[in-house]
Amino acid sequence: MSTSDADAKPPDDGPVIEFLAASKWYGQVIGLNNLTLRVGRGVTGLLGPNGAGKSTLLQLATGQLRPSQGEVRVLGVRPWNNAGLNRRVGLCPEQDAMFEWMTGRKFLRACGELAGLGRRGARAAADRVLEQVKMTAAADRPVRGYSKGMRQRTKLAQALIHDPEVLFLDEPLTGTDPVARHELMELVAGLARAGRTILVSSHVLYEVQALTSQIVLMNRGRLVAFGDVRQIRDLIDAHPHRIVLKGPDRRALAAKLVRWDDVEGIELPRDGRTIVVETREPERFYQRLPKLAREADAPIEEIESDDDSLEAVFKYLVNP
Amino acid sequence: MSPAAPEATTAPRAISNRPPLGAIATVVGITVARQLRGKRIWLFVAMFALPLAIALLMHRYAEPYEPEDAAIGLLLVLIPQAVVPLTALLFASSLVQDDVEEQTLTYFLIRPIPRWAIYVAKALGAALVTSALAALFITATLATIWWGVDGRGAGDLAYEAAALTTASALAMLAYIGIFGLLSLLTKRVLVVGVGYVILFEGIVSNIPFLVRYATVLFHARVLELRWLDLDGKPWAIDPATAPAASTSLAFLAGASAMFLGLGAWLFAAREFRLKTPEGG
Repeated sequence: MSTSDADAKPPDDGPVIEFLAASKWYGQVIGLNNLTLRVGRGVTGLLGPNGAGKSTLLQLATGQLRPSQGEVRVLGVRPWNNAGLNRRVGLCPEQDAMFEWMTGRKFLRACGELAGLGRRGARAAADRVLEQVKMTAAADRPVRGYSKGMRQRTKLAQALIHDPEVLFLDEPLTGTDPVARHELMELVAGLARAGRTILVSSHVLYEVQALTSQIVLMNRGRLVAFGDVRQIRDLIDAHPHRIVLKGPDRRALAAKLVRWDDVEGIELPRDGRTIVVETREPERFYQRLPKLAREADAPIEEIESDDDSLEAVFKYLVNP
Repeated sequence: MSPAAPEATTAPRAISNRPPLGAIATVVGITVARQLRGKRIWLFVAMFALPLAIALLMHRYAEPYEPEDAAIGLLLVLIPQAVVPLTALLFASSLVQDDVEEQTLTYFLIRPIPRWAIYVAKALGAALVTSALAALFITATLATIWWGVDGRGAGDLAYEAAALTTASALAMLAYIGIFGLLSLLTKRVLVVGVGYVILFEGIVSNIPFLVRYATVLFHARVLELRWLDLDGKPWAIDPATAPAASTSLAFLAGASAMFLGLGAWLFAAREFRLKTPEGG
């Protein structure tokens, strides 16, 4: 692993996404600080706590923002005000927003038409991506009634609607249940195997690790490290990892979790639905969660990871 | 940390920016659907229902009932001078802002549609909704005023309705161009817009001076005057010296194109921050 911008090596077959000394300011606030980064084909994880600059990076790469300084290129062209590039690029945005009056199918058809597929093409593409994200059964329900996991699946589906070469996924697994998380990870892995370039952002290392070993680590708009996930994981494993679980019967869940030898501590906050678990073996913990979720007497509705342990690693990397 | 030399590794390639017409039509469709579903539509209905309600009350209770006076007061003063510009302001002010606040603008910006075309399509969607609903209420008000009055055939009423709704649609498009541009320039678009409606369209357009030639209302009135062969005295417009209908038509079309063009240019040049600092 390297901690230098200069060591951001392009893969053998050339970079697909390039940031060349790119900076982005929002008035006095710096979103991205002199970032030089070259990302090649396959899956690359973009990791950092909230406010690290991940969304800024993705919005620059998808042409929603213009760099204040430096240059951004995707597939060899500048994304800002380059609508044609969007035929080859897809984005799953972080914000939980859709056209709420539409059904899932109509939303995806509209996205297909917006992508220039035409009415017939959009219809076929919507059916295809609904199958891909396993949402066909709920496709004719209004999106406003969807659970968080269903919304995440639908947002991912709209990113795939025009079968893009390059995919930007902004926190695609946030708020999903373990089963949905596993299925979405499988889908992303399948897309990577099919030759797509995928940049997936997360503030949870263990989500990204399941998808790729290639990690871009960011903090406060700067590139902290770029390289293999194992070395970053070793640093993080040295710190206790806090994982937040939500479920209707948290006491039953806690009773099961307390017997796990990798769980070091359990907190039950006052909200009545949340459990905060502390572990030094998060990878093992995450692997065992889907099995726990399937047990009917202790369902898990949401999993989140606190930034605290990741933040500690960033501090360590920035000020060793 | 030492950044690498900023040097591009591949030469820029040309990618077609030709706007897909089907995609633009979808932007119009989504805009229409959003406008028809929002709370704004009820305000629109309330504002246009006001002249209709007054017409009903006058028809029922005014003694003696003077349909000519009702037509002038409601169809040629209240609606074009207040209701049309204010409803246009209501819809144009939210053209982009709704999508920024609801964070759905991303779904337009990440598609192969040039930014200028997204803006124009959204403006046309808003113009379509407002003009169609305005036509409905204007026709209903006209029918209420002249219902049961001798000497007015269905053909005359249909012609009058067509003239009034066409003039109002042209004015609506120009106002949406103006207020859409304002909404990109200031967050206080409603305050600035109401000020514009009162001062410029309300006062200046009624003063017989050169500046009135630059107002939307003046040219909309000239069209009504020419098409309906009206006396221009109530607005101090002398038919002998007033512009020809074709001139006013060209002015309204040109003003709409100019303001929509300026708005589209500004929309294409501006960043909209949805999930970043200063974002919605």
